[in-house]
Amino acid sequence: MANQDNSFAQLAIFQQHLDLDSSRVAALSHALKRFLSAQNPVDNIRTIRDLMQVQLQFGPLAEFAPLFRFDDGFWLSELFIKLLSFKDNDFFSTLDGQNKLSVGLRSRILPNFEFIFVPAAIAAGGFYLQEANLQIRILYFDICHQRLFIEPNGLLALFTSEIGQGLSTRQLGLTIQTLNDLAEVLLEDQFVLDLNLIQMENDAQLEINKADLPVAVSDKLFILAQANQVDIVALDDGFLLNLNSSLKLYFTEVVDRIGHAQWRFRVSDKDDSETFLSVLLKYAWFRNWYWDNIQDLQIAYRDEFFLG
Amino acid sequence: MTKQLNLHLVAENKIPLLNNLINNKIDYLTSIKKAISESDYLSIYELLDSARFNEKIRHWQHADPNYFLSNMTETIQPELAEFLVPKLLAYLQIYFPFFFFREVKTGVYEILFGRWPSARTFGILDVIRIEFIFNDPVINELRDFMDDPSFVQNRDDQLKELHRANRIYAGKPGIVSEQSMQENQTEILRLQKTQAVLELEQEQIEKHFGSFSHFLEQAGHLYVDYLNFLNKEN
Repeated sequence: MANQDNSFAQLAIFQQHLDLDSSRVAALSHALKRFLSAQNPVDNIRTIRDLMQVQLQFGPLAEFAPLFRFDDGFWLSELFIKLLSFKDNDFFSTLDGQNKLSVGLRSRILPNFEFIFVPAAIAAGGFYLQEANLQIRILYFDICHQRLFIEPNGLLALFTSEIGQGLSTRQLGLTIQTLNDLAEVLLEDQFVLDLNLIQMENDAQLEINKADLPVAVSDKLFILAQANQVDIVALDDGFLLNLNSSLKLYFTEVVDRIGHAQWRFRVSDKDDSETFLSVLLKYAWFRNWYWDNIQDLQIAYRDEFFLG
Repeated sequence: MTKQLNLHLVAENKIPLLNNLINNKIDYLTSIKKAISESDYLSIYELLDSARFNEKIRHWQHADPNYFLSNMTETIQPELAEFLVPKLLAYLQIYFPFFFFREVKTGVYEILFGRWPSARTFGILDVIRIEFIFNDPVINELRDFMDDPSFVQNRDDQLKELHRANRIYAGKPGIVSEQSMQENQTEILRLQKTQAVLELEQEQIEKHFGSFSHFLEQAGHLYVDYLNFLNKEN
């Protein structure tokens, strides 16, 4: 009899958990419903933020947990897909090969990659979007403080990895275009953006981290350009590389009042579609020069958000 | 008294001569002024050195010089060169497209070969005499690079030797080795840069003139070729 009483007591606790879980699930369901019916980027961002907040406040479900495998990363993935839909861009999906929901972002354009959001272990919080197998971080995203920063070396490492090397110009172009589309939508909600080496505008300037470039580095650029039959022109403030008839790369300096030279790259093409990243990927000799001298050429980026 | 009278007569006799000499100068200056105002480049060059013009363009055997007249333009030659240079540069852009010119002081133009980084200064363009005044060591280096296989071989040997030494230094870690490697690396870079510049110069010479000697020959004919060009244009 005592054992029976004990099991009823256990069942009573289970029933209470079910009640609690039900109310949490109802709240989650409500938040999800609002997200699914949101009609513009700002509402989408707000509702997914609310949904993540609901999850955070309620803590883990006691009994329903095995049914819910969707963490914050999943909801951010869904947000990216929904935001891109405003640009008619269906690059990403969370459906796997069996048409079932999965945690990571996949793309038919990049069939061998899967991207997942992982929490950033920094005081600012936020998430990294990283390739699941290679563990290469490509961007930092913080929905609370409305920030998206590209990790330049991550993107370059991803696309020069063994798998990345096999990608076509079209695949790379669509990937870069997608990240630009996403940034454009996020701007509607006043996100702070750093698209870094995937900026497509001809007037985008990419400053390098260090001032006062060693002459040896620019000498090497000249020697390599000549060896690779690329027309390089000396300008009053630096160099111009005519990579092809419609693609130009400027590498110029601005000297400050105390005589320090700040160097910068700028890519110019007739369609505003090329980026510094696409130049690095297209021209192996130029990429090698960039990597070999990365200590002097590292493009400035929000490195404080990519620690560890 | 007689001596004084004679001197007076001699002086008076000089008046027609002096008038003549002064009239010649006035005529000369009037002519050159007219030629400038009419942008008659051919006449300007003829007036600046008539003997050279008659000899080279008209093919006269013994043409008289006019230095005593053209000397009068000496003080205005920098400005005159600035007046003449746009036309000459437009011509040079067609026939020597790899040369670029930088005015280093009024009327003085430095010749740059190419627009690439580390482009070398080849000398001066004398606009008044329509001549390239080449810098001998620079042009000789290009000639050797293009025409003397041993020059290229020596460069290659030097580079190989520096790379070989660095491979040895790399196997012996230490401050001295690192310093030596760094010095070698700097020298390798210098040699590679010079070679890149020479290759670009060679490319242009071969593209436009076929050979170094033909380039030099054509550069030496600039006065005749340019004035004949102006003549045809007239």
